[in-house]
Amino acid sequence: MTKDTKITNPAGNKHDEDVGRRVAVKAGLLAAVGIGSGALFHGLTSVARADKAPRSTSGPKTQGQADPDIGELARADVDGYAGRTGEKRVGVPTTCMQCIAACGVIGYREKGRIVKIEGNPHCPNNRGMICAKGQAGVNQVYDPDRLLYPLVRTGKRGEGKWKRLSMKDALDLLAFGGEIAGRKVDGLKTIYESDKPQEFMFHYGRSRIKNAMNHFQKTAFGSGTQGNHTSICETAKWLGNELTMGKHYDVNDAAYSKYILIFGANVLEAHTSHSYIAQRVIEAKAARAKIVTFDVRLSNTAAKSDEWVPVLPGTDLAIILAMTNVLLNETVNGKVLYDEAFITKWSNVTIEELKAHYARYTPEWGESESGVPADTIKRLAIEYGSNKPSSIITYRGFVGHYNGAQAEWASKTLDALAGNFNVKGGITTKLGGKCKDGYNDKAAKDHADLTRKAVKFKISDGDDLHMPTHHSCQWIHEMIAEGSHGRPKIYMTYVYNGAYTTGDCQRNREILCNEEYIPFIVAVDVAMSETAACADLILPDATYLERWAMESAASYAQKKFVQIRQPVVKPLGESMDMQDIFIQLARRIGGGINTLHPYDTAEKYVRTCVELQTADNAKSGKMFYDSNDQPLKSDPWEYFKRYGVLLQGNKPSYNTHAKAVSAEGKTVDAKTGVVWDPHKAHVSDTDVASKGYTGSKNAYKGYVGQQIDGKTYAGFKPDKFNKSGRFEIRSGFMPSAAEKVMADIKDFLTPEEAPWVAEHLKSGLPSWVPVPEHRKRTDKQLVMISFKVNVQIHSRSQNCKWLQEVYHTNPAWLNPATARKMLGKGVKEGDLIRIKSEMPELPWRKGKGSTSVSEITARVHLTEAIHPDAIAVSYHCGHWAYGRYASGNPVEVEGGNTGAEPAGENIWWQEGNKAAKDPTQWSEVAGVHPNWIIPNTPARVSGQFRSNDTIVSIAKA
Amino acid sequence: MSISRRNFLKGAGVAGAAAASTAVPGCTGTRETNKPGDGPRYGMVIDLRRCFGCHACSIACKAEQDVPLGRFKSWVNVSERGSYPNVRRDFLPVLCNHCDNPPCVSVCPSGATWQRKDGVVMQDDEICIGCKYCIQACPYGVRYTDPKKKSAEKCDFCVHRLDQGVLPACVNTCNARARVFGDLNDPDSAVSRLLASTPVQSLRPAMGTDPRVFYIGLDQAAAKPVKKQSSLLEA
Repeated sequence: MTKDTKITNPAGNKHDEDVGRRVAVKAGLLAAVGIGSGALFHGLTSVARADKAPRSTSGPKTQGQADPDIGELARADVDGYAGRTGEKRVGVPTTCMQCIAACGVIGYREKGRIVKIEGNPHCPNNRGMICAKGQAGVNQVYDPDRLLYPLVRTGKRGEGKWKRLSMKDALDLLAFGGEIAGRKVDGLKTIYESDKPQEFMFHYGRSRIKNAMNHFQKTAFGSGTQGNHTSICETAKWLGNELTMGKHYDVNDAAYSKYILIFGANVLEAHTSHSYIAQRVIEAKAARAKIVTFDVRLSNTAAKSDEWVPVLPGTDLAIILAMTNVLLNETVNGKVLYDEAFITKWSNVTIEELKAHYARYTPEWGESESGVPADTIKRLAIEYGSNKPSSIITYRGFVGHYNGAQAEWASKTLDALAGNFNVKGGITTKLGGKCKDGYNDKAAKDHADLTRKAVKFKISDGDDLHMPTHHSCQWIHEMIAEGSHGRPKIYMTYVYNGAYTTGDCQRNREILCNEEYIPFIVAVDVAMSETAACADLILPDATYLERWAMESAASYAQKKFVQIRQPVVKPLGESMDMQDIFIQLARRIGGGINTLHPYDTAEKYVRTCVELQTADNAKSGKMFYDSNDQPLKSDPWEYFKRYGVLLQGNKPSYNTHAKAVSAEGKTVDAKTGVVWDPHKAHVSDTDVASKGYTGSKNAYKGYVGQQIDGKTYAGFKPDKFNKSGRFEIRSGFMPSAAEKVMADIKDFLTPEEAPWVAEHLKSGLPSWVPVPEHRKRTDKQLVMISFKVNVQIHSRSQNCKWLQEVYHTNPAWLNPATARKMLGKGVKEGDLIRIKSEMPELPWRKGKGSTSVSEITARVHLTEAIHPDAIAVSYHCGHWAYGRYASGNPVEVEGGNTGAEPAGENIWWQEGNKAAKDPTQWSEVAGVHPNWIIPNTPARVSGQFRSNDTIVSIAKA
Repeated sequence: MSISRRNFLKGAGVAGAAAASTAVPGCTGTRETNKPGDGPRYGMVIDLRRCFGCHACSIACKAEQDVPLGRFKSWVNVSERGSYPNVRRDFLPVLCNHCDNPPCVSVCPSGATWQRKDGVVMQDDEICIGCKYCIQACPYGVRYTDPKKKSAEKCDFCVHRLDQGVLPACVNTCNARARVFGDLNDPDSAVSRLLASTPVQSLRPAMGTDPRVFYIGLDQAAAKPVKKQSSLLEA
C-alpha cells in the first residue's frame, strides 16, 4: 500500500480482525479436520494451478475427472448427465461464440432442445469453465424475436415493414435479382458475370468462417471489396504489435507472471480471451503476483488488482514512455532493470540510443501529461522491472484513442526492454492450431483455372490514413457515400451491425437507407440488428450452436490446438449456416464458382479439413494429440466430434523466435539480414537486386528467418509489411507518418513542445503524441469513454434474457465531486442529464468530423470509482432494434411473428415503461447508446475508432 | 453414471447418501445431518479473494435450475466503499447456506422443506402450500415464490448432479475457481483441507443457523446488510 495509489483487495489484506469471527465449525468437523491450530491465512497460495492438476494418462479423459482444488466431484463432461427431471442430457462439444474468445463448451441437449452449456474440460484454454455470457448462449437459440425465415422489405428502407419469404425464394432473389418494394435490383449472378465483380461487397462481424468466406467472395467470385469490424476495438493494437513483434496477436502468459501491469484492459469482464485470461490472472494472484491496473474507472479488474491507478483518458502513452525512462535509468541493488542481452541480440537499437531518446520522458513529465504522480510511475516501473517475468496487458481502453498505435508500440518496447518477450510468464506471440483447408488447399488447387484474382473498391482503409493494416470499418459508410472509390451494388452484411457498433449512428442509418448509394442490401443475422433493419433482404443465420466450423483460438496453454464447432441442435426454422448459404448461392450462380464449391454441406467441408490435415500429418510427421497430451491413436474426425479438440502440440512452447531455421537455398538480404524466398513472395530477380527485401512489394510473404551473428533464427516474423525478423523498436515505417500526425496536432501543441514532438515523430522510435483535441478541453468539459461489463458482449448479447435482466440500462458513471461542480449541489443518483459532444474537428476532417446527433440523455450514476475528468457510458445498451429483450421493440412481420418461440416470460424490467421513441434519449427499458455522439473519424495512423476520445459537456436534463 | 465413479463418496458415505435420497420427505428436524463416519455432509467454501463477481454462477444456476426471470437461487452482491481514489469494490456470491440448523425447515408446516442426511436442504414443490413462512424465516433472503408453481423455491446444491458425481453448476463454471465443494465429513476432501488451513467466515453467524457455506476473506462490512437477492422484483 502506498499513499498515492489505491486499494488493496481482500487477498492483499491480512484479515486478522476477521479471524476471530470465523465460524466455529461445529463438533465433528472440528474434530475431523483439526481446525483451530493457528492456521495461516494464505490458503489461496496453496492452491495449485489448474494445468498442474493430475490427469489420467491412459486414453482420453472422460467424465469422472475432478479438479482437486475445487473438490472431488467431476466436472460436467461430454458423457452428458441427467437433468433435474431425470431426463438424459446429451453432451455435444462445440465452440462458444458469445464473445470472440471461442471457449470450448459442451452444449447439453434434452428432448431436442439445448438446455444447458458448460465449459469443455478438454479445451486447453478454458478447461471446463465459462463465463455468464457463455452460460446464456441458450437464449440465442430461443429468442422470441429470432429471425427464422427470410424477410423482404415491403415499405421504405428502414421503415420496418417486412414480408416473409421461403429460403428458396430468398436465395433466388439474391442470386438472380428481382423486384424489392417496386424497385428492380441486380442479383449476384449478374455481377459475377460482369467485368466488375468488386461490386459485390461482403461486410462481416464476428464471422469465424474466414476461409469459406474468402474462398467464396475472393477466390471464386473475384471480389475483394470486403469490410471487417476490427477497428471498433483493436486495429491500433494490432498495428503496434506488427511494427515490433511482427505478428498482430499477443498473448500474456499471465498464469506464470510475477507482476502484471494492466492498461485500459478489462480482463476480468470483457477481454478478447476473457474466460481463460481471467482464470490465469486469478491464478497469478493466488501465487502472489502483484497486479496493477491503470484505468479511467475502477473496473472489476481494477477492483481485484492490488492497486488501481486512475488515468486521464488518452494519456496512457505518457505513462508508458515515462516508465520506460525509469527502466533505462534506475538500478536495484546495483543491477540495471533492462535486459541488455535481448535488446542487443534481437532488437534494432542500442540501449544508448534508447537512453538518449527517452531522456525527455521523465516521471515528472509523465505526471504533467497523465496526472499520475511521478513517484507512482517510478515506483511501479521499478517493481515491474525487478519482479520478472512480468508483462503488460493492454486493450481498447488503451488503444481506442488518437495515439493508440503509438501507445501499443511503446508498450511492446517496454516489455522487450524488460526481457519479457516469449518467456514463460511474460508476453508471447500467438500460437494457434491450424488445419489444412478444404477450400484453399483443395478446391482452389483442384480447379486453379477457375479461380479469380480478386479486385476491390478501396473503401475499407479510409482516406489518407497512414497504415490501416486492419482497416477502418467505421469509415466505410462514409466512403460509400463519398463514392469516388466506387460503390457496391450488393452490400451483404454477415453478423455485422455497423449501424449500431460504429460512431455517429444517425449518419450510418442515413447512408444505409439511401438507395442511391447502395441499390441492394442483404443482411444475414440471427437477430433484427439495427443494420438488418436497414436491409432489403434478410437471411436468417443459424446460431453458433447450430452450425459447423473449424475453430482455432490463441492458445493460452502455449500449445497449438484446433477446436470443433458442431451443431448441438438442428438450425431452427429455415435458418442456415452462412457457409451453406455460400454453397447454395454457388449452385445458383453456376459455372466456375459452382465447381469451386465441391462440398454439399458445411459439415462435409469441415470434415475434409480434418482429413486433409490427417493426410498431411502422415506425410510431414506432424501429430495430433489428445486432450491428455498423448499421441492420438483413434480416428481424428471421430475424436474431434466426441471431445471437441485436436491438439497439435503437447508441451508449452516458448522462445519461438530463437528457434534455428535453415537458410539453405534461400536469399539473404544484405541490408536487413532477412533470409527470404523471393519466389514465394512473387518478387522478380530484378527487384531482388535493385530494391532488396525492404523495397520489394509484399516481400514479407517470402520471409524465412533472420540472420544474427551468422546464424538463422525464426525471429519475429513479419505479418503485414516488410519488417525484418528483429524485434523492431526503431520502425522504418513510422517516420513517414510524422507529417500527417503533425498536421493534426500542431495547432494543439505549445510553441515550446511542437519542435521536439515533430523531431521525435521523425525518429522512428516510440514517441509522445497527445490526443490533440484534449489539449483544448476546458474545465467545464469532460472526456467521455465507453466500457464493457461482465454480463454483456459488445452488441450481440442483448437478445439474451438472462443477461438483460442483470444489465439492461447503463447509467453514466460520474464522480460526485464533478457532478456537484457541473450539475449543482443538489445532484442525486439517477438524475437525468444531457451529454453533449463538443469534440472539435481536426483540420483534415473539416465538415466530416462531427456527428449528426450531438446530444444524448442518460441517467447518472454517482460513483467515487471514476476519474473526475471523465464520464463513462457503457456499450451494450440503447438498442433501438434487436428484438424485445434488447430494445422493447418486438420484431413485427406481415403474417405474424417469425421468432423461435413466443415470449412466455414477463420481461419485468420493461413493465410500465416504453421503448424510447427517439433512441438518442434515455429509456428505462434499454438505457442509451453512447455512439450517437462519438465521431467516426479514424485515428490517423492506424484507422482505429476513437471510442474513448470524445469531449463532452453535461447539464441537467 | 456408475456407483464406482462416485469417487467422492467414500466408504460409508455411499450408503449414507443412498439412504438420504430415498428418505420419505418430511420435517427431519434439525442437526440430524450425517456426523463424521455416518456419511457425507456437503458444504461449500467461497474464496472471496479469488471471486471477481462475473455472475457466471448466477446464470449457470438460472439455466440448470430453470429459474424464471426476476428470480435467482444464486446471485452476486456488489458493494463499493471509499472515496476517490481510495475506492474498493467487493463481491459477495450468495446462495442457500444449507444450514445445519435451518430455520426454513423448522417453520415449514407441510414438510415441503426438509433436509437430507448429507445436509442438502430440499424443497418439494408438490407438497409446498405456498405459505411463505420459509421465505420469512430465512435470514439470507435466498428463497422466492415461483410465479407459476406458487411454491417456495431454493438452491439444492444441484443434488441431481451430486447424485451423479458431478459438481454443482455454479462450482463447475466458476472461472475464478473460487468455489470449493465437497464432503465436510471427509478430512481429506478439498473443502475440509481448506477449512483446516484457512480462517473462514459465514453470513450472519449470530442467527445460530450454522451455515455450511463458508467464505474466505469475508469483510463483514461488505456483507451488511444482507439484501434480499432471490427476487429482483420484490427487492
